[in-house]
Amino acid sequence: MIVCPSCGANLKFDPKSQKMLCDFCGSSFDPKEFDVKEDVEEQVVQEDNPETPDFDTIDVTIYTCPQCGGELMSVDENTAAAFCSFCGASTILSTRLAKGKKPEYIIPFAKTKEDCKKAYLGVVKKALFLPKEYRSDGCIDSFRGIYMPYWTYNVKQKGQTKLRGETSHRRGDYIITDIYTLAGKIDAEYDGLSFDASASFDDSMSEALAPYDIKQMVPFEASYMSGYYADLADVDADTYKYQAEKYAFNASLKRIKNETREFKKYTITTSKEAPKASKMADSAVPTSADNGHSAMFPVWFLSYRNGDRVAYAAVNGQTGKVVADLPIDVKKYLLSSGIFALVIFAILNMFLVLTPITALVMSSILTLIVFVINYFQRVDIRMTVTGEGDKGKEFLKENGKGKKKKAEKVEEAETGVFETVTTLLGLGSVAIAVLLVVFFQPVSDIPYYVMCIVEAVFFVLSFKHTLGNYNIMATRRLPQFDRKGGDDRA
Amino acid sequence: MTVHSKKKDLIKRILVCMAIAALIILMPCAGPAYASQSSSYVVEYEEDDYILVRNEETGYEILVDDEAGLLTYDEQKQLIEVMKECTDYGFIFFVSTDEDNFPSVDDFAQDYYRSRVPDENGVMLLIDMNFRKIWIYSEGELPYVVTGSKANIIADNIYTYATDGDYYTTARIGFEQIGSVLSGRRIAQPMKYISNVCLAILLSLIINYFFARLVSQKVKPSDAQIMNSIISRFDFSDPTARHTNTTKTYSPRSSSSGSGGSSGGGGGGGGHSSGGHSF
Repeated sequence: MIVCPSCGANLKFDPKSQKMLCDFCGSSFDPKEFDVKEDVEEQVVQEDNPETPDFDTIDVTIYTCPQCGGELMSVDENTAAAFCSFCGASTILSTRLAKGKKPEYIIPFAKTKEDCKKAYLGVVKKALFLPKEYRSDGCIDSFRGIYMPYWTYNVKQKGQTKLRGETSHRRGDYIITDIYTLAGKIDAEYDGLSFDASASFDDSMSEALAPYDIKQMVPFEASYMSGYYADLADVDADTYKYQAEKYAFNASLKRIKNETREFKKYTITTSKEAPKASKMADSAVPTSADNGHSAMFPVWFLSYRNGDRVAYAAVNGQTGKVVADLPIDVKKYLLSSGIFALVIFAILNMFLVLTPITALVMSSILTLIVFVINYFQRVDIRMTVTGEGDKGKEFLKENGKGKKKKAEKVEEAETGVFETVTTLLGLGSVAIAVLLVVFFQPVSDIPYYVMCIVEAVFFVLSFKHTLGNYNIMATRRLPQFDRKGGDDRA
Repeated sequence: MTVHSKKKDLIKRILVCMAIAALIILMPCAGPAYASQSSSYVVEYEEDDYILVRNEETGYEILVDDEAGLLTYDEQKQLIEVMKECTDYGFIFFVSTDEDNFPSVDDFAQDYYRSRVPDENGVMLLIDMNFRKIWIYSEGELPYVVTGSKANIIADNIYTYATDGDYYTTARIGFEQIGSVLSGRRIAQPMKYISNVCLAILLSLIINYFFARLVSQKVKPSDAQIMNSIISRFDFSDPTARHTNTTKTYSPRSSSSGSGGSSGGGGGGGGHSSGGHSF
């Protein structure tokens, strides 16, 4: 705990003034004034009585959710956490004292909770179908300032580049292609490429929350964490090293292509696909990243639990950028669709008279669109629940920490029997419609209208799944953490 | 704002939306297209299955040319009575045919009409026994009133009588509805409204879905944004190009088949509209 030198009360970091503020006596101090090392040393000696104090660690309070096992840490000892930010449970989190590895860097919060709420409301007001609970004061008030662990990489590119370039011209019935090796000396550096080090924080969310202005990053001081929580790192530093190298490789390749006047006349054919990790250093653009630096980045985090699902909202604590899960309130959706349908109906009446064949063709197209949407939704859901493409989750799986969860979740991702039957019958009805229009072409309108009604029924049944799938995609299963191991250097 | 007043506000908004929608729906129906007037008629020519009657006041004519022999003489006479209302607005033809030397019903209709009263206001109801189609064709100023859509609706409303072989009722109801359209009255178009209601519902559900997806999209930062947020430097020097290889690929020049000729002539005459239904 950081105490006020004037009155002894708890000091908290104030994003607005970038100072440590005392709520009790109103004093303010520069966060760098506090020598945490001494503080830590003192506490270590008092509590654990070790032989030598460890200057790379800080004493923290670990808050554990009894329901999901999610853990947060804080440098404040006397704070009681009344809800879990991972599963949204309203419960008193159990606490224990522990030592945490001190991160190397930190970007302090620059946005206050009020800024964050304002930014969030700005986004959710556009979400017309969002359940009203997500806008309620109670919900918005539960935004919690959390420092998320990140790995930041410094990628260097120094040496000789060897790109493949070519020029082509026609001679008679032949295309003559001259192939060249385009060489040059590169000396480039990309410092601060960052990736989140917590598997519980989805890559899709952290990527969208980016970028953080790395120029504002400062050496870690525990005082910046006073009044906030921090998530624990459970992903190894090596996990994102290749990602950082790939980014630098592509960025430099692009710049060489676009900015080197001497190469303008060549078509550079070096693949945009970066080489494998092991070959990066000897690739066309020699690239190598360091082993990563642990850092803490500020996020205002909100979780809203609804039954067995939870929705997250995160606001970048430095820039105010908002990323939020925005589920649909089905009643609201249907009501606004009804009103919108009136407007569309009025417009259609002004210029459109559907012949039975056109009506059937249009209903077939719309029904097929719903099937296609459902298919891609299923693909997305399967990818999300299996953690495919999420480097953090893949890391946990590779290290044997996510297997149990995978088995449970893949089952959830499977298409239900009713949905499969609806889709097959619906596709059958579309096939009959095609036969009707292309081959049989009955004189009477009745077969066309009957098929329109059949397709409309399948449309509605399938669209019910579309909304259900959307809400699965827009929310998450309650997390179940297994927080053992990992790399806790961050 | 209390919950009660919020609800009131929501109901008010919904009512305003519905009122605007109703206004938009009803607007196209307002006002007659042409004023009607009483007239006297003279039979100009009459022979088997061919009767020509002239409205003396407007100068427009009624023609019944039942080449396919679908109507009895009495039916032809009765039909002319129904057709009289339309002569306030233009020429009015009932034609039946079983000719098979035209590629489409519309070609026959256009050829028939223009060979008699080119560019004049008029409507023709054609029953083509060769293509088994009812076709409503209009020309001059009338395509703005008896539009293709209106022609389709009328044909849709009468094709079942033709399917049953009741050609007189087909023609009678057809001309009654053409008369209604010309005088600005409404005609029954239940399937138009039913189809449009269904289409509007399905479209609104899908469009709203895409809107929801758009709003909830988690947008990744661009490369430029990432580049601005990190510390980077880039220096590339001594660029050299060394020739390593030459390849030769056979790729014969495509022989051009000449430029495409212009299609379609200007052609005289104004526009027309038409629509119909099989029976």
